[in-house]
Amino acid sequence: MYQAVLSLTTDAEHSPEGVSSFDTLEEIAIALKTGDSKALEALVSKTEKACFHLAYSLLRDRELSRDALQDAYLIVFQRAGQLREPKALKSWLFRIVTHCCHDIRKKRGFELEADVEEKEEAARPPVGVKPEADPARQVADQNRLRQVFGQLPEIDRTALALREICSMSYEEMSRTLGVPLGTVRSRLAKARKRFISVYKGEKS
Amino acid sequence: MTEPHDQDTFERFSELLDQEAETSDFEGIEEGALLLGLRSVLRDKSETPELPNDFTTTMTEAVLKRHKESPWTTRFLMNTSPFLLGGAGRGRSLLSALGLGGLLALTGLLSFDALAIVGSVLLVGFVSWLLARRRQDSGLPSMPGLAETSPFPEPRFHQLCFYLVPTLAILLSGTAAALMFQGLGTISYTFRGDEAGLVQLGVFFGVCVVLLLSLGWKPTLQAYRLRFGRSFPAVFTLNMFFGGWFFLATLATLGVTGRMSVDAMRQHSALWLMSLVGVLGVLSFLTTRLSCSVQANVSLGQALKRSTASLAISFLSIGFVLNMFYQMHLTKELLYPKEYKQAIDEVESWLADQMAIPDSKNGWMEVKRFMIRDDIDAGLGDGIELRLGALKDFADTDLFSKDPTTMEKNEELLKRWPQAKAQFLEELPRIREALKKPHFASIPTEATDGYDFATLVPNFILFRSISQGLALLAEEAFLSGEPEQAVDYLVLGLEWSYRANESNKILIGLMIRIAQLSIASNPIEKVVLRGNLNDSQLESLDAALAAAQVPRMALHTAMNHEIYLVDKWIRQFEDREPRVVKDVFLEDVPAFYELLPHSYLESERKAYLNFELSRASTWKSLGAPEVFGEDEINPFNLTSQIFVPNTARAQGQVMTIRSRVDALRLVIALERFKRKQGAYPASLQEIVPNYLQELPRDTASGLPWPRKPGFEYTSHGQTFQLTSRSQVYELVGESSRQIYGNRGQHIDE
Repeated sequence: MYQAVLSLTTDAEHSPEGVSSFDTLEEIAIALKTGDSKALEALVSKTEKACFHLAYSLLRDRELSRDALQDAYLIVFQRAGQLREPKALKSWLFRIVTHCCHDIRKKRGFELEADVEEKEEAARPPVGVKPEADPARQVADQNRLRQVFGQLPEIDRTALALREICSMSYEEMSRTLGVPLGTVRSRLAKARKRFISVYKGEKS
Repeated sequence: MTEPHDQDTFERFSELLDQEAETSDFEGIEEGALLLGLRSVLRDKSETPELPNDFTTTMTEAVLKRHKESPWTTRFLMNTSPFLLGGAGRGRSLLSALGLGGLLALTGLLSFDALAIVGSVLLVGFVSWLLARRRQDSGLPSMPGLAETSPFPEPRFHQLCFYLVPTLAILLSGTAAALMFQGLGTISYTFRGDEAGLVQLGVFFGVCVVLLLSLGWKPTLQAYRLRFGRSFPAVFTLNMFFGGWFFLATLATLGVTGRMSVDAMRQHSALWLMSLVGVLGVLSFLTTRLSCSVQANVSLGQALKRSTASLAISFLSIGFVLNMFYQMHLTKELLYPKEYKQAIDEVESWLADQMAIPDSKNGWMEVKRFMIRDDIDAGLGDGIELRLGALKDFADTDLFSKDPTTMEKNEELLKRWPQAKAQFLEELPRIREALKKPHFASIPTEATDGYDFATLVPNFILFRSISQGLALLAEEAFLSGEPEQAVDYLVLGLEWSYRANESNKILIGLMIRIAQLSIASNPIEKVVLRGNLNDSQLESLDAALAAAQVPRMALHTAMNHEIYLVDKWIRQFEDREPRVVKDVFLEDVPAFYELLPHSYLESERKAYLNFELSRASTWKSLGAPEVFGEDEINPFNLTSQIFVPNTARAQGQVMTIRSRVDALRLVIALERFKRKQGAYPASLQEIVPNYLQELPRDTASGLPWPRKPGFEYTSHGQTFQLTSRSQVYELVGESSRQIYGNRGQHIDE
């Protein structure tokens, strides 16, 4: 009722004075709902490296990754009110980052693909060369792996990124993607299978 | 190397990956090595460029800058949606809100009221946004397992009641408080006609009660909001809209009532009200602060405990405010003790004189048994009122008019007139005998306190009917060419007008006397100017008019008697023996008055006395009547206002009748002058002192007594015109210019 209106001016429990006043992402999430710019700064400070790594893994471009991060942080700042569970801030943020990366890829996809293609072409091993005996060593060409990862559909890349880069559990992925646990399992399995298939040049 | 193309093998690889298995587990399996390689590549941060040191700052600034540059709608939704929707239902709440807004917008097309509703809703949204910008309560605490597991987690009836019952109780309490004050205000409004501010005051207090109680109940409502709102976004959204509405209504009511109360009250009363608002504001704030700490891990039981505590604070607040109101409203000082004592002494002295009158000299005793219902019922008389009652039908009718339309209208009455006249003539000797006695006092000598309401309520219709009968007889005699008989009836009518009310000195008695005098004097001008009366007859008419004239101090005397009576009545309340009130209202005194403390009644008594006595000089000077307005009486003294009569109109009637009687005396004097001198005088001064002792002042003038002018007079020998001009006439429903004399059209007809 109307006391909710009144309480706006009286509840002063979340009034951070500076970035250091936030110990956890949960606190940041609550403060973000109030439009607190300090909370935004704290969020950036705590998550910038992980997010940038995620974005860079997906985009392989420093500036584009920064752009993606900027987009992602803006979305988080403006839509924090929609976040029901403060504990889910981290996974929500990662999901938004992957979405933003995807958007950027879509917008600048051709040039990006061309660049990556160009850069990686030189490093690609000749077709038909047999891999070495040690699998870990045999897959020495990391660029090839990255290229294949970049060729995967968005849905697969997101699943693999959340799992492999962000080290999320299935439960966290379920909450982040908003799908049931079983769907997470199958989606991840399909992504891995598709990765192998693409790598081996097979048609999926 | 194994080629694991089957599903089982692949799933085993996935499991190993998920278990963060060692590299050796994938030995010999290409797919496993690839997936492991992918993980390694993805997790490898060595190729990820280093971030600059100022990345955090620049990124934050860039985001904030883009936020500021984003459309206002985005920022509005960002700020408002968590507040309005409580972050409850994501898109669903938003849709609910939009749906409701759409519905309202649709109805807005249908009527202005609905349009106003839509506008108000938008206003609520805007206010919400403004508030949200400053400080937001959108940080809803987590409730694990509640909204997550099921869309309808705990829709239990008793929990709904937990919310609804106290809410209804709060609203009912506020309504009751509003109705109580509004009811009292309405009573006052009915009697006074110009103190509607009290009605608004009632609404104001009702709203305040609701406000405080609601604040007290806030923890519970908040628990409800968290518990149910998250599960029922549509209900919650609706709830929020109602909340916004209530908030808006509260503000509007406070604004409107505040304004109207300020308009209707004295300045310092308005200051009181503003002080009360201030106190309520502080108390509301404190109550909110003390009651809004349910933020996380909501337990309805815990919320109930907090609500109980904060409700107690609310009740204390309400009690405090009511007590403050009560203490402030008390009128503790009697401002005119000397005048009060004089009034009481005057009335008591008069009462003693009345009670000393022996029955043998009291004309009232001659007619009493025919007029008082108790005596009639006791078999002491046959009640002339029953027989003379028919005369009331002839009131305000120009029965003997020659105008065709009026004659047609009076046709039926004219047929009944002979019988009514015969009955009246039968009773007339008794009235003549009664008027021959030196006194005419209705105060019962056996009464211990003399002034009793039973004797103060005259049979107004009967008194007036007698005056009406005499006036009709006079006019009929005059038209029949019997001027002597006409004058006799006129003189008797004038005498009856003031003798019948000799012992009825309160305001209503004065008003009856004026009504009778008005009826009795009605035919005089016509009879004098066209009746060819001799000098003796004119002289006796003049004497009768002089005797019947309402004394200049009559209003003052009447108000002294009012003061005496009301003072006595309230004292009876204080003594818990309100006999008089019981007589007045013909029913038991409301139990409400039994509960009133002595200090309240004493305050009411003093408020009434202060008000009445402050106007004593106006009644003496008979200047322009003062309409009850500002700076008159404490608006919180509700009871005393019931007793305050409309003295402005009473004063207007006194001034009008006095002016009329004086004008008629001038007409008689001028007619007598003409009989002797053959023409009307050139100026009024010529009739003094042979025909009139002194020239009267025009009482109807709005100037105070010493400065009142005389009548305007113009003469052309055989005709004259007397004019009285005053706005006071309009107070009693007459034209502001009254004309007498044979130049007036009504005489020439």
